[in-house]
Amino acid sequence: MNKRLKTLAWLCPLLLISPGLAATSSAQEAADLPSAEEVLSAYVKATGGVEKYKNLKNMSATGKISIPQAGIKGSLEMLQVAPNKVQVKTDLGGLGTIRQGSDGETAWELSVITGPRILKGEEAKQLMQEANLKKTYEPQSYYKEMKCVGTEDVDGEACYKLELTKPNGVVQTDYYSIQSKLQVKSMNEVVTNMGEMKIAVKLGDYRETDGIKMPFKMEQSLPNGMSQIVQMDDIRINVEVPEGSFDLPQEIKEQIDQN
Amino acid sequence: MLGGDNNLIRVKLFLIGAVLLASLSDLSAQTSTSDPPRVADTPALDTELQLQSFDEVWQRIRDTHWDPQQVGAAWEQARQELRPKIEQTSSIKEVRLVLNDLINRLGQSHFGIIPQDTYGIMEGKGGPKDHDAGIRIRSYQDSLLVAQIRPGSPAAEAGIRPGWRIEKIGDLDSRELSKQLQKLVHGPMRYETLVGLVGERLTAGGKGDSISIDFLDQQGQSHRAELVLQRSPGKFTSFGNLPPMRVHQIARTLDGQIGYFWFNAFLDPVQVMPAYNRTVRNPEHSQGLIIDLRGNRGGIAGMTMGMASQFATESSPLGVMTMKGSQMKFALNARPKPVRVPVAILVDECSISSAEIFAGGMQDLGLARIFGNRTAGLALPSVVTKLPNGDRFQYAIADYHSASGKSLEANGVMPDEPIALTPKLLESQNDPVLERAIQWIQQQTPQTEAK
Repeated sequence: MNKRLKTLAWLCPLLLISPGLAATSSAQEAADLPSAEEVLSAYVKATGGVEKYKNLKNMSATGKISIPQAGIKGSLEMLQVAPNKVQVKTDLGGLGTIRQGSDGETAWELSVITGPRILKGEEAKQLMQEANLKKTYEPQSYYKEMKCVGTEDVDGEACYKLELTKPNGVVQTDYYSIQSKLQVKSMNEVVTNMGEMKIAVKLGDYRETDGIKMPFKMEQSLPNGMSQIVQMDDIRINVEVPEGSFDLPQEIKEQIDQN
Repeated sequence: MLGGDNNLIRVKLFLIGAVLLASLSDLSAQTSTSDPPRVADTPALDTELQLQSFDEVWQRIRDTHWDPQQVGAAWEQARQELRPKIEQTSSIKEVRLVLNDLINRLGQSHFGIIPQDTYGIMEGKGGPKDHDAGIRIRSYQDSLLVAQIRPGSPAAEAGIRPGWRIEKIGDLDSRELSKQLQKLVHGPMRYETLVGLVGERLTAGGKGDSISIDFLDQQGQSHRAELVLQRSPGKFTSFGNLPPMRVHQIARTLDGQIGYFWFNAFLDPVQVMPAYNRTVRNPEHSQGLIIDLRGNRGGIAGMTMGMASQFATESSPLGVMTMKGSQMKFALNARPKPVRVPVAILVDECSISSAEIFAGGMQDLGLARIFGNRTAGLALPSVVTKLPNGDRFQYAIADYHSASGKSLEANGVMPDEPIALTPKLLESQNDPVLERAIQWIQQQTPQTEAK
């Protein structure tokens, strides 16, 4: 069964309980839907093409972060090297610096508020996955299942709605503009030490960096009613990575030694 | 990558917003109905801005309140009843009265309007309450009592002693004040807490201000003190939309081997957290630790997790907050070598918010013994946002239950060793709560040394 038929098969049980006219309409809509693979492939093409992505080894970025409801502003820097090395530093002024990172083996967090912390289990995997640059252009290598389940408007823009099942079984819902092919929204469940939380992210301000279009603005809605806005100033790819960039901080090394 | 992989940035930054919840109770937000008119009252009102502010307050509560019963039909009815009243207001004070009328219908803590001039100190406009007399006032029967005197303060220099009763502050008779405060009690706010907060405000003022206070000592002798206010200790700090306040901490060693840490707010983590960590991890404090939260007004809720984590042997949460449609644990980050000495936490009726979350969780997890008076019971995690009219709006976004499952809102933390302050007790012991905590620690055998 090809991918499009797979989608239709999944929709059949729903159609059985739908009223006649709506069923006809939904069936027609489903038949017109592209597969998730096609939507993701169109995204890669619209943002630079597979070859550009395949050459991507690392990425660095600097930007600003704000939490408008709380009147908080700060800055951030990040560096990630495929497949699993990450370093993020967020400076929130009076709150101090919050750092997160992974050297490929140990994922960690260091903040004035919560102290040094070694991330474990799903939380650690999640952080390391952020440097998995391959899953954009080879999504089937990462997601267990991918479905395009319909269309939906996001802020007045018609979008394909995709349901992507991650290796841990969590379903992430992404929205891609039918017209521009760009991703405009994602709804996901993330694992934190405070529990599993559902967050929504709106993506925008796409700009080209070395041949790849990327969203420079992300607005994350948190379950506590706050939103975090990340506005990137500068994103670079395939930068020179200084030696020791991913070394574990001393406080984390001490925690490992004491365990 | 930022675009294709839609997880990258947002996951890494996720916890920032989560730990910044303001669990701080500001008196401005609680009692603005009783405040005198301020400078900001004078300009002509822009009614449209006031209506927008009303709508924002009403909508935010409707959209974020965790209890659908509270924001159902009665909430809609409140909007229909009160919104037209905004159009009839002629001063910002009247607007605040209407907004507080709306908010007070919830009967819960951490909902309030904070006047914009509260923030003047951070904008270089000076602060009306930047100096104080150094007296900690608490309620006693139908009157007021001096519970503590700050060393080196104007009150200390004047020879005022803990245990003295307060007869008058300026022209204000303390019994009359007490009656007035009884009338202001609403929602979970207790009279005892209100006395402490208002007492703090009445003995504070601006540079060059002085106050006259009449006292009655334990022997029945009257004293009058004219106190020139002194700049309050600590560093003025502001974080986001939280109201600015002086953050002050004291770290010292008591009786040779007991560490002591007092701080007045869970704010300014860059200064407070390292000082706290040094105190609790100091090898000299091998006999025990005293964490004094009396008068602590709360602040950044995330700091409670970092502070409690120093003692955690496992990753149990301090408590759980329940929001609209989801829950968050106040997770502890168990350390490989947790501090394992007896821990006493001192609380009183003015230990509020994050102070209660910390004390209640430590008690529930068996990590500390609590001494003093029942805490305020004003313990809902909240957010402070700016309204179109410039005032700030504090609103709770979650219910909170401590590790054992008990609700702290309206209940507070019950001390393991309640100690009621009386003139007689304060005469015999300068600080009976602290002294009892020291005595308890000295009776304990420290567990494994883990510094």
